[in-house]
Amino acid sequence: MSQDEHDLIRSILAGSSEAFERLISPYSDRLFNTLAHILRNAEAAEDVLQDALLQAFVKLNTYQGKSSFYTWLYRIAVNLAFSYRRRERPTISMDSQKREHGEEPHSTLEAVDAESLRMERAEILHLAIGELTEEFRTVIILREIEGCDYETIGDILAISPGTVRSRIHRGRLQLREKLIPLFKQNSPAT
Amino acid sequence: MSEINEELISAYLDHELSTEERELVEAALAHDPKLRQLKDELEMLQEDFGLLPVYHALDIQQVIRKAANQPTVQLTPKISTNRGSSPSNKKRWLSAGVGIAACLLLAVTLINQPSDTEPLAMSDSVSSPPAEMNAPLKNPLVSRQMTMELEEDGAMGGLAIQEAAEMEDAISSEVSGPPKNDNANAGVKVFSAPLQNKADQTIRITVEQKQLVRLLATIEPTSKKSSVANGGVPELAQARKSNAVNEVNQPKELMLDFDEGLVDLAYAMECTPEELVSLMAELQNAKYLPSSENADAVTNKKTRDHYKDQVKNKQSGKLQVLFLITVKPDLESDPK
Repeated sequence: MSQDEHDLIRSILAGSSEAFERLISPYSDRLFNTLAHILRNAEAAEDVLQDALLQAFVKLNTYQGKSSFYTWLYRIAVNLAFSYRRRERPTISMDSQKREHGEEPHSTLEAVDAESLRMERAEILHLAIGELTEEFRTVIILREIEGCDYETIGDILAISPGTVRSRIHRGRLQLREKLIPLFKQNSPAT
Repeated sequence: MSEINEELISAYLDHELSTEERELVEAALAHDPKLRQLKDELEMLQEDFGLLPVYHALDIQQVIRKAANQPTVQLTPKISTNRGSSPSNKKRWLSAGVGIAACLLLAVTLINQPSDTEPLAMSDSVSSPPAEMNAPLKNPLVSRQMTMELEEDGAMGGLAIQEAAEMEDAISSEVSGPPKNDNANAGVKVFSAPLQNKADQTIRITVEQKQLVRLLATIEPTSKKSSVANGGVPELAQARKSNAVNEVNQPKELMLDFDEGLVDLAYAMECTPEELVSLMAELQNAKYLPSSENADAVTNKKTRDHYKDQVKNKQSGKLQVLFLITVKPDLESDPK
């Protein structure tokens, strides 16, 4: 923990809400984005973020500095996101997309150029992430979107780096399965 | 067949390998085209993550400010040992408790519709600052009691006082039965709320800090069977439920709550009449109901029948119970 964060935490514990805003601000937007990807819903992410920040504020006196403040905050937020999902069970399945929109998730449109194909892959990836199990999706998001290393992910989720590695790889394989047809379209001639 | 564990490919792309492992992977990649294809596809996948939508909260600063300015508990161990400021902190906590209870009352009022079967107050609406509450309160019993407490203590809690004043305006003659004033050190005030759109039962408990964990543990096992919302301290339900289901990912720091600092809590729950009677008996046995008069009041047949009447027209068949918990400093020594 940096000295700045240490000082801010002391100020917060002494009653300064302004110090809390300064402590949280560097993380809040990133955390919101991460939560939105985990929850697949921006409104839910805001709710969970609100709860996470409140918990962080109220429970700051229990923060012992064994992990970075970032890790501690994300741990709270991710656990709240898990709980939220268990309660709400939002689903955005590729099958349901088909039913709702009458469209194949694998677009039948021809990719006119590499960029269009890339965007199409991104869209399918976005949907495919929603299809992952919670344990795979979370590690993937923390790694790919949040940029956490395996040790930090392990701290946040209370799992070993080995487990992180395994879940990331298995999650990627599942995503790859969904995108394989598009990979073949874009693969250079051999 | 690959010579190496394919997981190492992902770790290789993430720069998570030791030098030795990296050399091993690179050697394998040089000789295995399938492995190279896997690596290329996973690499493409990683690049695609850069195209995912980026979500931004509409007003992130407002979200932060809301959390920082919540009139909820101030868990500040330093304040609890700060001898010079204990009285004013007590007032602040009491005011905070009033604010919490006010939020919960509103949530209970808004949610407790005649055909309501939804869980008790959503934690996010309950955790909103009292200033955002616009609906008139319809449970004057608790508000009257809280106002009286404020007057007795001379608390000047600012927003909480304003809120208490608004509650005072909403007090009606429909209230039946005066509140019972117990010993200030440890007492339970049980209010009956026979009218609709109120918490069915409001139970006020004052405990010493060292009793709080045990008290919450007494209340919580019952509540895990029903939808629980904790407006005062959202993490309580989270942490306790996680304990109950042995959740692996339970944050370790959250396990250390309520042994530090002084807390005023408002805890809302749903339970059946039988569960409430059972819980009240437990609270009696654990000495949170010191007065035998009160003890009898909550467990006799008349009270049980009253509870059953309250849920007669409810699809959920459950009472909405509000616990207002005031925490006093330990009498023996300063908390650590």
